[in-house]
Amino acid sequence: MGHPLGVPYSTAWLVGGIVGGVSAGYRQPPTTQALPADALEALHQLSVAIAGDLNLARIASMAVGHARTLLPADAAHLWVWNPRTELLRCLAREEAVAPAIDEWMARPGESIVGDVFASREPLLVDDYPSWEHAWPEVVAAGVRTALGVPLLVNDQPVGAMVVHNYTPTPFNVRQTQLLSVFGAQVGPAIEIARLYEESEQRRAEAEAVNLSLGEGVSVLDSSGRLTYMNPAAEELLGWTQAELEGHDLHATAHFQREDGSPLPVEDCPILVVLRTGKTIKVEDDVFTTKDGLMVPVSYSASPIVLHGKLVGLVLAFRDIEARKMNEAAIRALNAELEQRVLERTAELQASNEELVSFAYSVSHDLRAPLRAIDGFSRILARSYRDAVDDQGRDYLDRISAASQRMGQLIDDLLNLSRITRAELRREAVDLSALVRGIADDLLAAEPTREVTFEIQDGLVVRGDARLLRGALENLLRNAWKFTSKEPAARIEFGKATNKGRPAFFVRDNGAGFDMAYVDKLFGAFQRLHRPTEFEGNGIGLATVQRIIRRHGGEVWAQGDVGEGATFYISLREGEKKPHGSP
Amino acid sequence: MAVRNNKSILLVEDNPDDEELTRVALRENNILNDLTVARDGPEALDYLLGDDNALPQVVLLDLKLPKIDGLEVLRRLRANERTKLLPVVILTSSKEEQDLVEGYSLGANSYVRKPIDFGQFIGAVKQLELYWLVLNAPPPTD
Repeated sequence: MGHPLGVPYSTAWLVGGIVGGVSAGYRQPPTTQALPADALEALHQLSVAIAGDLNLARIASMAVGHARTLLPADAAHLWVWNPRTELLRCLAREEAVAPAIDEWMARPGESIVGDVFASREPLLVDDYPSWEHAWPEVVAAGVRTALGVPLLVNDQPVGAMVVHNYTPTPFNVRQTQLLSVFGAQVGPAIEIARLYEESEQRRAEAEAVNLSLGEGVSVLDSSGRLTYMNPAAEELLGWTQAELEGHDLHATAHFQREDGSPLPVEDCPILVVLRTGKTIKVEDDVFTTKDGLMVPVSYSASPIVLHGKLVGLVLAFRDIEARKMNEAAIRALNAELEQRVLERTAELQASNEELVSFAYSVSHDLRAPLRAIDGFSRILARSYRDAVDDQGRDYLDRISAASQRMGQLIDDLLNLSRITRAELRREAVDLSALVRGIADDLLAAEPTREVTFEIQDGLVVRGDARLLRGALENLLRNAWKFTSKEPAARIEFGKATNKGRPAFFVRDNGAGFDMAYVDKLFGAFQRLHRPTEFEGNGIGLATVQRIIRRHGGEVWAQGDVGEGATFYISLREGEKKPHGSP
Repeated sequence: MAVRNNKSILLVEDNPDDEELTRVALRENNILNDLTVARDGPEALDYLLGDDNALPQVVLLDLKLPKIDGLEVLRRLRANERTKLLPVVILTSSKEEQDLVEGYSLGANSYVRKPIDFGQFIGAVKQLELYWLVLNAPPPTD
C-alpha cells in the first residue's frame, strides 16, 4: 500500500529507486504546470473518441491505448468499480502485463489499483518488484515501475488506471499529472457507460421477467394512458402494445362492469391509485377485449414514484376464467355430491327400514311354526303317550329340543340385527360394576359351580350401557361356559396394554382355542367347538364384535388349547372424558 | 279345579296352529270359559263394537293380523266408549321393543310373548287365567 500524503516522498523514492532496498510507493505533490500542446491534443482526441460512446469495454480499451502512447508507457490497464459486487474489475489492458489480469478482481486498498481507488490519489512505485504490495504475476511479467491514478466523477472514485514500464525508468511528475487529467476525463465517460450498461441489463432482466410472466403487466402514465404492456397482457386483451400505446386504458378495456353497466372513470379502482398513491388489489372484475368479450380478471395496481412524484402505475392482472370455472365446477360437484349423499341416505334408510320390517316379520313368522312344532310334539308326547314307544318319545323330545334351539337362534340373530341399527346412547358406564353384576347372575344361576372372579375396580368408559352390557355378558358367559370343565375355574376382568394399546380384557383358564382359527372366532355361526363339547350357536362373539365396532373400538383374542382364552376390547380414546361429546 | 263361569274369552288369532295350541293350553289349565275366535282385525272389531254380543271378560289379541293389525284393533277399541276399559292382553310372537312400547302406550293391559316352549306357554296361560278371569274385577258396565 502507498504511503499517505505527508510521508517524505523523496526518501521513499530515493530508497526505492536508487538504493534498491525495500521499495515503497509514493505520491507526487500537486503541480500547476501547464500541459504541453501534444498532450492537450491527445486528450482532445480521446474526448472526441469516447464522447457519445456508451460501450464500456470500448471506452476502456481506447483509454488504455491512448494512455500508453501519450505518456508513453510500456503497459496500461483500466479497472472499473462494480457497486453490486463491491469489487474492481479489470476492463481493458494494453500489452500483456499478465495474461490472467483480465479476469482479475481487486478489493479497495489492494495493490496499486485498490490503493488509488481508495485514496483517490495517484501513486508511484519506482521499484515494483521490491514493493511489498506488488502482485507476483505482474512482477513475473517483467514490470519494473508503476504509476496508478483514480478515475473520478465529482471527486468520487469509479475506477482506476495503472501504467507500467518494463525498464527501470520511473514515471515522472509530468506523466503523473497527465495521467491524472486523463483519469478525470475518462472517469465520467466510464461511469456513464457503466450506468448505461447497468440500466440495459436491468431493462433486459425486466423484459425477460415481463415476457415470462403469465400475468398481464401494463404500465400507465399519470393520466392513465398506456405506455407498456407485456405479451401476456397483449394476449389477454387482444390488443398489441403498438395499438394501445398512448391510449386511455380505462376507456379501451375497463369501461364496463360484469353486468354490462358502464364503469365511470371516477369509480375505476385502478385509476384511484393515481390519486392516492396506494397499492390496490381487486379479486373480481372484468376487462373487455378488443373483440368486445368480457374477461373475468383479478389484478393489483401499484404507483410508480420517481423523485417523490407519482408518474404512473403498474397494473398486473390475470385471467380468472379458469378459476371461476373451477369454482363453478366445484360448486356443481358439491351439489351433486350432496344429492348423492341424500339419495344414498334415502337408500340406506329404505334398506334399514326393510331390515327392520324383515326382522319384525322374522320375529313373528319364523317363531309361529316353531311354536306349532314344539307345541304339537309335546302334546303328542303327553296326551298320546301310549300310542308312541320310547324311541318315538325320544324323537318327539328331539323335535322339541331342536325347536328350542332354533328359537334361541332366531332371538340371537334378531339381537344382532338390533345392535346394528340401534342408536348409540353414550354415557359414563362403569364396566367394573357391570361385570360384577353379570358375575353375580352367573353364580346365582349355577350355585354348584366354583368359579373365582377377579374384577378390577373403577373401570369407567363412555358408551352405550345396554350394548356394552350385552358385549360383556357374552364374553363372561363364554368364559363361564368354557371353564365348566375346569375344577378351579377363574375369570378375570381388568385393563392392560396389549398390541401396544390399552384394552379391557376378560380372561379365563378354560378350554381355550387354537390360535390357528382365531380369524374364525368373530364370524357369525362360526364355532370352534362341537355342540357336544360346549353348546352355542356362534353368534355371541359376532355380537360382541359388532357392539365394540359400533363404539369405534376393536376386539381381539389370544388363547391356547387347554390354556384358557383372553378377549381384549379397545374402545376409542377420549372415552374417559366425563363431559365428552356423544 | 275347573273354573267355570260364563265369562267368555275372545281370542283374536289368524294362525290355526296357535288357535289350537291356545285351546289346548286353556284346556290343560282347566279353563272352560267360552272361547270365541276372531281370525282377523275387522272380525274382532265387528264382534266387539257391534251391539249383538256381550263383551268378553278378556281379549287375547295377536298383533300380526290380516287386514287390520292388532295394534290398530287396540287403538280403535280404546277410542270407543264401549270398549275403552275392556281388558286386552297382547299375546304375540314378537318381543320387538316397538311393539311392546306401542302396545302399552295404546292401553294394553298386559303383554305376553308366546314362548316356543309349549310348557312355558301353558304356564303363561295359567297366569293369565288367574289374573284376568279369577282375580281381576271387571270394569263396571252400564
